[in-house]
Amino acid sequence: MKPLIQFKNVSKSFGTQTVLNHINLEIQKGCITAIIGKSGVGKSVMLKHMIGLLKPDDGTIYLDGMDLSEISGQSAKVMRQKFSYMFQNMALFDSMTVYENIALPLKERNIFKKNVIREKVLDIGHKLELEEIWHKYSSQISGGMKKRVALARALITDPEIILFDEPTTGLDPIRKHAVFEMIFQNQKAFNYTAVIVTHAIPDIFYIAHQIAFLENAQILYDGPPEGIKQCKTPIVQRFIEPPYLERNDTR
Amino acid sequence: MQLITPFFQFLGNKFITFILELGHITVFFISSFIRLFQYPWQFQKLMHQIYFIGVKSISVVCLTALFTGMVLGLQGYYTLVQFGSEGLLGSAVAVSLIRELGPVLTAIMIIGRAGSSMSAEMGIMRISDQIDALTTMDIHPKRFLISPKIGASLVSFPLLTAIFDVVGICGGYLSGVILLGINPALYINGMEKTVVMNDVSGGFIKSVVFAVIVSTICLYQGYYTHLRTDGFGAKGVSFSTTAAVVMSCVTVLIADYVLTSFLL
Repeated sequence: MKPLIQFKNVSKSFGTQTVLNHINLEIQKGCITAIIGKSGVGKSVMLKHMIGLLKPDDGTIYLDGMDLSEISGQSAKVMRQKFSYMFQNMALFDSMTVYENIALPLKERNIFKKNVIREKVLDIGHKLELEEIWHKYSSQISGGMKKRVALARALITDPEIILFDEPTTGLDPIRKHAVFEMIFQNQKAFNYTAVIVTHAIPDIFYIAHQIAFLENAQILYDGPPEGIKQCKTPIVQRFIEPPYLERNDTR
Repeated sequence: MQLITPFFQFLGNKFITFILELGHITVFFISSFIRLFQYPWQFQKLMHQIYFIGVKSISVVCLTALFTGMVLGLQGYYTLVQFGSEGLLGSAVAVSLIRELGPVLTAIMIIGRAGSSMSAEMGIMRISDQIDALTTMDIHPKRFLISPKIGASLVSFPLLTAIFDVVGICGGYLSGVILLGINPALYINGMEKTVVMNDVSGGFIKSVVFAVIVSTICLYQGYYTHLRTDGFGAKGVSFSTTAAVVMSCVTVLIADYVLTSFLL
C-alpha cells in the first residue's frame, strides 16, 4: 500500500548537531503512528518536517506520493489545509480568549458562517470540558487546560492528518486517558491519520498502529506496538521497561 | 599590507551584510504591504491597529508637541527680539514644525510608544511558536500580523503629524503671545504669509516615508527574532526591541536629511 507520508533518507542538522541521519519512515493513511524516544532526540523535528515548518538538508519527504519540496502555490495551500498541528508548548495566542483561539482556524478560512463556527466550537469545547473557560485568556488557565484548548484547536477543522506533539504531557492520568481515548475514537470515526510524539508509555501502545523509536538520529524500531517488546536493542528495552527505583529506607 | 587587507575585508563583509539586510527588509515590506489588499479585507484588524498606533499615541504626541512649540516660541523670541523681528515668531515656529520637527518628533514618539511594543509582540509570538502555529493553520502570518500594522501606520503617522503641528503652533502661541506679549495678529499673520502648501505636503510625504520605515524595521526585527545570533529566547526579544528602536530612530533622521535635500 502506498504510504501517505514517506521519509526517504532524510537528514537534518542544526549547526554541528545531526538530529536526523538518513531517516526512512512510512506512515500509512488512516493509522495512528507514534514516534517515541528520549527527550531532545528530534521527534518534534520530524513532525515539523511533515508540515513543512522545517526543510530537510538531504533526502525527500513525500506526501501522497508527491515530493513536499516541490509543492507550491495553490497545491501547498490545499496540502496545508489537510493538516493540523498541536504544538508541544501549545502555541496558543495569548492575546485571544480560549473561544477565539479555537475559532480562529475556522474564522480565517472564511467558509463558515458565524453561527456555524459557534456551534462547532461549543461542540468540541463540550467534549473537552472547556465550557467554564471560554472567556479566559491562555495565561489565566492551567497547563492541562491549555493542552485541551490546543487539542480542540487542532481538531476543529476536521483535518485529514493531525500531528500531535506530546498531547498528554502535564495532564493527570484521568485526562491523559481521556485525550488518548478521544484521539482513538475520533480516529475511528473520521479515519484521520495521526502522528503522535509522546512519552506516554505504555498507554500509547494501546491506541497506536505503528511505533517508531528514534535514537541517535536513527530509527531503531519501526513496526507494530506488539513487536517492540521483542526488540532486542538495549536502549529500546530500557525505554519501554525502565528499571524500578529501589526505595532506600536506610537514609 | 597585512593590516590593510583584513580591514578592507571587514568593511566589505559589513557592506555586503548591510545590502543583504536591506534587500530582506524591502522584500518583507513589499510582501506584507501587498497582502493588505488581499480579499477578504481585514478592516476590523486595521481599525484595531489604528486605535493602538494612532489613537493611543495622541496624548503623548500632544504633550511633546505642546512643549516643543513652547520651547520654539521662547528660543525664537529671544533670538528674533535682538534684531527687532519678533513679529516673525509665528512663521519661524510654524515652518520649523511643519517642515521638520513635526514629522521627525512624531515618528520618534511613535517608535517609543508603539514601535517597541510591535517589535516585542512579534518577538514573543515568534519564540512561543505562535507564528509557526498560524502557518500550520494555513493563515499567512504576514497577512494576519504584519499587513494591518503597516496599513495602520500609514494612516496614523500623517494624522498624528498634523496634530503635532497644530498643537506645536498653539504651544508657540502660548509662550510667544500669552507669556511674552507678542501681538497675536502678528503671530498668526506671519504664519499665514510664510507657510505654503509645499511645506505641508513636504511634511506629509515625510510622515508617510517615516511610517514605512518605522513599521517595517520594528516588525522585521521582531518577526525574525529567532534568526538573531547574539541572543535567544527572552534575551533575543530584548535585543530585537532595542535594535528596532535604535535602527528606526537613526533611519528616520537619515531619511529626514535625504528627503529635505530633495524637497527644498
